Amino acid sequence: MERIKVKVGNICIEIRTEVASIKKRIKEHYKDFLSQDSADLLIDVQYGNFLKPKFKKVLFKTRAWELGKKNDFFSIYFFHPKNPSWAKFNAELNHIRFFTKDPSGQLLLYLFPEILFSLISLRYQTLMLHACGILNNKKGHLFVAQAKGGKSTLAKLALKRKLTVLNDDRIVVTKKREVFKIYGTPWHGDVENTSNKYLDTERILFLKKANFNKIQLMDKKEALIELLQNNFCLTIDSDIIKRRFNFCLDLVEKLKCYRLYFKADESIWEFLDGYFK
Amino acid sequence: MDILNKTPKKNKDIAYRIIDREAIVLSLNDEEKVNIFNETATRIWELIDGKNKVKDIAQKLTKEYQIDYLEAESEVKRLLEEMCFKKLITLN
Repeated sequence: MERIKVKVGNICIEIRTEVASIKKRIKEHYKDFLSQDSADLLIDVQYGNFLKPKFKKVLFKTRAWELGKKNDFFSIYFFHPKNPSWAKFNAELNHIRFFTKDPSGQLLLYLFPEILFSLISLRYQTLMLHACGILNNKKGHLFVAQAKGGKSTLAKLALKRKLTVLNDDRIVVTKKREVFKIYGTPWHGDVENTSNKYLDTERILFLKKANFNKIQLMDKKEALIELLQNNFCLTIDSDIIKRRFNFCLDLVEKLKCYRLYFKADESIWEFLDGYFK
Repeated sequence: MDILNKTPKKNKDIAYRIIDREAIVLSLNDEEKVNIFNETATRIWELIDGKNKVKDIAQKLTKEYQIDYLEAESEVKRLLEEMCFKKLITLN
């Protein structure tokens, strides 16, 4: 059975499957994120029929999936009229059996790994933010905003200037010995350019669309509240809630936080270049 | 028991940190709501150690802020009741 390893941030996920079509799609989609490192998580993909699990308790539910507990183990069920899928976790949350009736493996490219990250990332001193990451003049810029907040706009303007876009929608932040690094992820928004590069970053910029360009230092508490509103973390228990809180607190304490009012044209990058010389 | 002789205690299921002399407190049972305390409330928060009674906290505030004891007592009672209502502390 071929083993494919994908590394996003500092988390390496091994995916095992015998289904050729799924293997091909995974390799293609994650081509910039393939890795030879030892795996932190294992996903065993099994194609075929299965019985829909009955959850003792549903913790989160959307139109597309629900996360619940069955026999004290976490599971995620993905709704689909013909090709549902079911991810069954072990107790340590590092081994997942992924049952699917979908030969395309689509869920392994987007939705499922994103949910997986949201579930386990804090165990690895990592958090995924609703953010855009851009490399400019060897500096990493982390732009945080909710949906329609301007992240993709900024990324598109960065591409015009031939800057490196890590991702326009999902950025992973890791913490190691008080140093924060930002990583690109393969799960993009409107801008398909992604990069597996990582950057040290000294600042976070919280976006606000405007008719002008302006930067203001932000109150740390205000920055914390915005970070707590713009991350991807499934708070399945109070331990995770506490970890997320402390991670975000560490981030705002360590990094300089700014409010960036920006005009949606190329002047923003000239402005940023001038401000952060 | 009169509230002044009660001993406030921080609940176990909370997380907090003090930044720039202001406490940021989160109840793990209500993750949507981040409580931010001003300087006075933060000082009261720091004095909630499971040993200080309400009257002890009021007395310390009187000394530290050089204010009238009754004024301190009123403010301490008000803030502690608020913290209790938000399930951040218990008052026993």
